[in-house]
Amino acid sequence: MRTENISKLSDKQLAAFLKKNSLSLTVQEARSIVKKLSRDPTMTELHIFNIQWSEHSSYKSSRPILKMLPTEASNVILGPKEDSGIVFLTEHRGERYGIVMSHESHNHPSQVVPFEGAATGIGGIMRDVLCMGADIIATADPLRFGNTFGENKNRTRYVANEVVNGIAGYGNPVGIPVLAGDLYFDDSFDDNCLVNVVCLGLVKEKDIIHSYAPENAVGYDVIVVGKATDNSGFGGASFASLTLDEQAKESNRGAVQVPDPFLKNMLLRATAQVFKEVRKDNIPVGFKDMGAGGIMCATSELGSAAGFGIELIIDDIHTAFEMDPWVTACSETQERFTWVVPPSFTSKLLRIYNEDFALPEIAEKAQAKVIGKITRNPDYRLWYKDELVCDAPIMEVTSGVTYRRKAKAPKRTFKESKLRDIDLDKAFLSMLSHPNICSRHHIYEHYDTSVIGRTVFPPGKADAGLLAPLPGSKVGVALSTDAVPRYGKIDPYWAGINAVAEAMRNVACIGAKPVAMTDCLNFGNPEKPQYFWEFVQAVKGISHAARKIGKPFSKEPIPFISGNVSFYNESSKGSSVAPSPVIACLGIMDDYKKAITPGLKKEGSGLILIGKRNNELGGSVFYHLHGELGKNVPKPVLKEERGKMEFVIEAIDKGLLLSCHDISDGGLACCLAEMAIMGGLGVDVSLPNGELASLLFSESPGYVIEVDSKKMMAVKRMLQERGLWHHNLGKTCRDDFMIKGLRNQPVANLKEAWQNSLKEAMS
Amino acid sequence: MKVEMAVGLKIPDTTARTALQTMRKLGHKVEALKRYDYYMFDVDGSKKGFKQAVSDVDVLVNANKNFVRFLDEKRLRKGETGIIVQDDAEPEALLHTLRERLGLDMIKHLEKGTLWVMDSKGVKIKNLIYELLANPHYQQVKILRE
Amino acid sequence: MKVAVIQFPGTNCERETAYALRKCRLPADIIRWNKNEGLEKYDGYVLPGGWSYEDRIRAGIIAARDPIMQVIKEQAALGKPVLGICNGCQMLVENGLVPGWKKEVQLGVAPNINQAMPGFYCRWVLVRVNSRKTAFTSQLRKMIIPMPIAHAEGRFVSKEKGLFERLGKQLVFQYCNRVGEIDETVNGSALGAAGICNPEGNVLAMMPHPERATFGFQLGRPGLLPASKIFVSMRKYIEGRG
Repeated sequence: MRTENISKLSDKQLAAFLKKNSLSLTVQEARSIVKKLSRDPTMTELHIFNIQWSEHSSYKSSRPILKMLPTEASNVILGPKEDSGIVFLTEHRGERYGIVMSHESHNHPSQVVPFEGAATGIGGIMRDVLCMGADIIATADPLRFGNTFGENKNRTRYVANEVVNGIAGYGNPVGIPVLAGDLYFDDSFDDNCLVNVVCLGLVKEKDIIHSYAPENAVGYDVIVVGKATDNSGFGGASFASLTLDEQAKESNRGAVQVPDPFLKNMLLRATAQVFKEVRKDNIPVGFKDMGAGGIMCATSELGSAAGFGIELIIDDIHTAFEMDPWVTACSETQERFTWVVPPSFTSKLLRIYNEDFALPEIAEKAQAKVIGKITRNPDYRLWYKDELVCDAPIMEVTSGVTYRRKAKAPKRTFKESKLRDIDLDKAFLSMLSHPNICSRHHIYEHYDTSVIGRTVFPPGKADAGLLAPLPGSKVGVALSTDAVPRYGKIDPYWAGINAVAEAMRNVACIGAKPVAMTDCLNFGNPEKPQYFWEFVQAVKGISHAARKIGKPFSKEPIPFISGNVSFYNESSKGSSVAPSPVIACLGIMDDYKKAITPGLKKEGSGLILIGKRNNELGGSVFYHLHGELGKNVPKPVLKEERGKMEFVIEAIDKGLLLSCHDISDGGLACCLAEMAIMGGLGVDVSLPNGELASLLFSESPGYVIEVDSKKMMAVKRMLQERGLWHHNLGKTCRDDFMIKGLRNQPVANLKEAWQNSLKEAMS
Repeated sequence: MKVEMAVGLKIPDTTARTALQTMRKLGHKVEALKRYDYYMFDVDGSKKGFKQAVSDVDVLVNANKNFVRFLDEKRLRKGETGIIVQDDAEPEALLHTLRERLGLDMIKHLEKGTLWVMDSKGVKIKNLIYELLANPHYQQVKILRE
Repeated sequence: MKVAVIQFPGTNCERETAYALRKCRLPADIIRWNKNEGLEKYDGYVLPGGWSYEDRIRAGIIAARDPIMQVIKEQAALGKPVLGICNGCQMLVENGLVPGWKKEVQLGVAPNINQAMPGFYCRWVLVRVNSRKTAFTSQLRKMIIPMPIAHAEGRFVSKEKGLFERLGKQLVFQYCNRVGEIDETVNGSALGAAGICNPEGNVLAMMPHPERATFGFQLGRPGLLPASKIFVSMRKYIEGRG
């Protein structure tokens, strides 16, 4: 073995050596490798540890903190241990079904090459779901961009448009509908957008395929399927763990991953055929997608998670061109998977990919190929040109490192804004056209939202997307994503609480029961104590909310079944993005036909407000409009959140509500406006006593429900029985939008402000 | 004054690669196919100044994945043929963005299309165009020889 | 009685198209482009939506030139029903099966023209049914039916002057509003054309997706949606041929 004599180098020399070879390992980390191997490492081994110990791959800063999250509940089939989580969906015709859910970020690549970054983000999350043996059924895109009216507006508009084009440019040809998503604009994202992606899949519980080798797999073939490996994305895992340096932008190009939705489309279909064969003959297999760290990461985990070793011949990996062995082993070329199968199945698998679905004709040199074997000895061994270039205990390769970072609360004060003499009518219309409130149809009409033909509520129709995923079954699957960036700027703990509460509320609004969550935690540099503090606080918040709101109608917390952490979201100037704990909430309905939308349905029906409007304008759009941040963020009382949520879900199930909408961005006024615009009906309402701006625009959690006069008594009784604070707002009417305290105007005016503003903000 | 710009990919061009495969499969013996986004700008003012400005516009050219060639500077090689395929409809949204948002108001007129460059020895170009490259009902074709 | 749903590399609507057909009691097999022995034995053909061959060069052109199309053309000439949906519509236009007056291609399906929403556009539209004398519209009772579109190239266009006016009843579907007035703003299609058939009425090329507008739940309504009758008509047509 040819090793690098780093043990003979001084610290200074070692630091220079690491830099020269583009290794972002610290000197201490490099020396610890020598200790672990009891010898100097090869260049390949150095690159392997470089990636495996990067923040992106190892979660070295976050793993100890993430232990706070509740991950267990009776409906969890698979928690956050493999590529995706799985929750129980329903039993249908004697089969138990699960929903597979995964959630990731692709922030840094999307800032550098927005189209490819967003596209490969979608591609990657689809693979995470597919490799559990599932049928991919939907995606969601929580997005955060910079200020498109500020000094960086050209750049931020370019990034925003290309990200949307990238998501559409990938998801549409592959043929997976976008079901949900959310969108925020804020200065703090000017240099570092947030592109998070969520993916759902459907699988029979008995058909779940795991991301590790099965039992007795010694001698099984390790097969790589998909695109020919090239150097794209090489170093991407370490790339995501660095801040974006303006000058380094050009050299980051080598790290760009190239999306190929056409190949992915064929891979999905070919893989579905392989699944069929595996299930037909009950073949024990392991299947894993390749993301950060490429072949090395996937194969080492396939082996180590099952207690085996791996031996690969790098020369056998199909490549676009000749590369150094560590590049071939670690590059992040897209559209690839790894199978572990008994040798008796290998030729059938190869035939399905290479002949039946003609991969080599779809993309140059794309194929399925055997590259190695599972071994009994738990070692990770890589051969190249008959030379052993890696020989490490497999557990060392996969166990990563953990750091205890310092968290220190920054010294800063926030003040409630003293806004005087605000023309509330003018503010109201400006808020409806504010980029963080206005209609998002400009974006989601670029996405295919009806492909596969199982969509009940596409994005924009209601507070959550809704699918009827299982032909012949009434079960519905709902999805919503949320996290308000400006709350995060003030108080990351409460930002976390609100993100969980709002995501759950949105699911409840259509009548679905929140059953599971995933999280994507987007924060700044964890090596800086004040940003690590923000991360810890947000995790505390989301954990607390998940436990104290809990899974409705149960005594359990709502479990986190999968998630992702993205650090180093800041610019070279050192300012972190708004702390963003993005939450995706999955909901289930027994009968999707009972789901309701926010659009007002009937003239003369009653409108009820549930949830007091408190003086909680901190982080609100109202303040944002006036250039203020504020201090008093919404502070949901978690037990009450649960009570309100259960009421809404039950009332919808009983058919008592005509419409329902949650109160969030823009407060009660914007909530009512959206209901009016979407339903084409007006309102005639009066508010409870209090300060007008607060009543109209405070973002305290709540709901507005529309109730037919015939059902009013039953609804009132339900509310009283549960001790839920509520207020009779008034009634729906024909065309006019009338809130006492604001000027009356036709709903058409509101629609004009709300409908096309996003296009203006983005073109 | 006309400025013709071709924007190519530094990263692998999956469309060009697979288009070449298809052309060959259909019996056209094309070699070395390259694909560019083609822009024809009709501008007032300094050509050099405009070229500099337009190469920096990220909606057209992303330095991380694109390179730029101006057709008046870069000639075709011997044996190469260029085929420009343009849609009839004008790229109004793009023109608006370039003029209004990005301040390139010296652009009076914009055309955009795809430029295919290939080694065309033995290739029946007219047939290739008719069978594959353009639908005459909404696309026009310009042939460039070296 | 059985129809073939043809799957090219890049097709992505084949499963739900076959499902909708089967639910309308018309058995369907998904046939891969490279495994099509016995294709001529089927009673009808559906070219579903998607991005066949990645829309290389332009949408539908490569599939239109695939050898499998020869079989489709021959079977169409025998009177069997051929339905092209979205990408399938583009294929039928690019190989001249529609409008089917001459061997040459007389139409194009060009990039959408829609100032408010340039590029790929996905939303529900209303479509006016102009003829019940086709293999796919005989059972349609309603004159205006909802279906979603999801395409970036859906604008029917031709260099031949007056071609669209000469189509007559071959202009089977036109985008319209709730009272049936033609809407040319959806994607700029000439005369708001959304679906065109051949003179015999057995080949229909349409841009909207009937398989996404078959079941009530797809639009939040009970029962079945009017577009389901497109598949029912196809079945009845095949039954009628005996």
